[in-house]
Amino acid sequence: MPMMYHAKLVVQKSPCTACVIINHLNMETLQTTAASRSDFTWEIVEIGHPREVWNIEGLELEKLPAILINDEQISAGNILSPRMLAKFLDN
Amino acid sequence: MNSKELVLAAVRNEETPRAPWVPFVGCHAAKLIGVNADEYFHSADYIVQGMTKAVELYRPDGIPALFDLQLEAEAMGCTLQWAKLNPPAVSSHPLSEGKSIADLKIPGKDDGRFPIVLDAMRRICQTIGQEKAIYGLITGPFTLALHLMGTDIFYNMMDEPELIQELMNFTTEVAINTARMYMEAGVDIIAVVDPMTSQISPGNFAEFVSPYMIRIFDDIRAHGKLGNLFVCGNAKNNIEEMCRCHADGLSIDENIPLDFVRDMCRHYGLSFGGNIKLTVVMLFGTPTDNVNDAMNCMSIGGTKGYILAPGCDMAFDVPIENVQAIASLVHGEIAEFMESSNPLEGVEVTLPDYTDKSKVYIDVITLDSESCAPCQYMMEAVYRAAKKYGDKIVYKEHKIKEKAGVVAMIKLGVSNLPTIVVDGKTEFISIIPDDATFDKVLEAAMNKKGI
Repeated sequence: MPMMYHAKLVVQKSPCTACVIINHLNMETLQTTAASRSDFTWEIVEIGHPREVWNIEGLELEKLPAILINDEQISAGNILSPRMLAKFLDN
Repeated sequence: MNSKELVLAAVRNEETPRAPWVPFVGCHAAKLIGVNADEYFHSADYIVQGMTKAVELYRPDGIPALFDLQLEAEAMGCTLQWAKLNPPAVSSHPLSEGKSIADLKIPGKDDGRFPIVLDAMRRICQTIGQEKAIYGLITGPFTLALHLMGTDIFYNMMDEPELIQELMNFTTEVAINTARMYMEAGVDIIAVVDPMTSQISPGNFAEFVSPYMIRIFDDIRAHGKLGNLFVCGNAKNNIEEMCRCHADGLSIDENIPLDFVRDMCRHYGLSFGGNIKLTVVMLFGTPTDNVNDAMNCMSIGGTKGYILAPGCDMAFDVPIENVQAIASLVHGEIAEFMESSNPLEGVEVTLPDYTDKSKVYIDVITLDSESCAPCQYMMEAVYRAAKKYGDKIVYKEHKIKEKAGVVAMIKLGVSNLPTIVVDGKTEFISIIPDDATFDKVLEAAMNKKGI
């Protein structure tokens, strides 16, 4: 059975403008990747309060937005492009 | 020195009587007037009402007329996704959807929402701007380039650097034109807000951002205005490069240590601002947390070329009382604020008898030396003095986190935190005395009493 990847984009419910920009670019990356691969799904996890980060398995840093793949954090506070994500998935 | 003069002096890196206070009110202003963010950004009347309300509630020294980093992109063909409680987001990127740079046009006063924004800005400058410094915020050239191209920009910086240089050249023209429209509308300071530069290395910043930033800030200066560079996110590695961009000052968020930025900016002769924590403090903290964080910032920033501000635009739902707590600290009315939010009836505090000739009494008004760094340093100075002079000195910390501390603060007539009072006389306000200075004051007090 081929390996399946599930990504979680963890975002704040009330972000500042800079986080809004990063959130959306990351959403686009995840959307593009999901559209081009059958082994990839994703969801948004919105947190309303910083203490909720402790409920998210695999989240190591409190810095958001964060991306987790199969509950392993691969980015925090950064923009991930589709090429960077593909590189991560294929390695 | 009025509020506006205070901000302008600080931006020019001059000494000021106190740190000016500039809350970055963006979509939060919508909450203040009871509308949603979407409605707010589409109405000049709402923008003016929101800013007027923010000034009334938060008593700032300066304020941005608008905090909207999507405005230019929208006017150039990017689609926006609107939200009720958040700033809008760019959801399409013309340059990754078949258009070329040649297809794009520099937006003017009649494009997109510019007519609304310019109308609001003129009215804000003519009213609020009489006494407060008004910031005109423009989207920085790299963030705008990212809006136009999407994430392809990162690989294109390696694969097609000439294309990115062409794009940066174009977004720089847009930035210069937007800045000129805002300066014409009457703003005092142009802030080039380029948060996405936190995503690139210092090498890429030097190659793809610095030359363009320099052009923008040189143009602002040529028009007789001041220019600030705002960055959000972990841009610590780029700070030195930013200092070389000909801006008058930098403003940063909590991802970068304020003391690091202070030292770097001072080295380059720039002013600096920031970095009250947006989420854990402003959005989710208590008024006391906000006072604590603002006090820490003010302690690091000092009174030369420093502007107290949040790290980025405040979230829609930031509690009003949190921002008011910071305003009360800035204006030396913290005791009154604490009293109004926490009635003090029935709380009795007896101050020492300062005429007692056998001792010198030190009262230290703090937020709480266990959680507030400047308060801790002040208490440490007192501990050292107490150790030196033994039982000739009696000291007490009055923590205004506790009701009794607020009562003591009011009784002593103290306005600022932290403060040292010696025998009932305020001696050190928000300044940690060095041992020699403190010894001099204490010895004078002892001599007066014949101790």
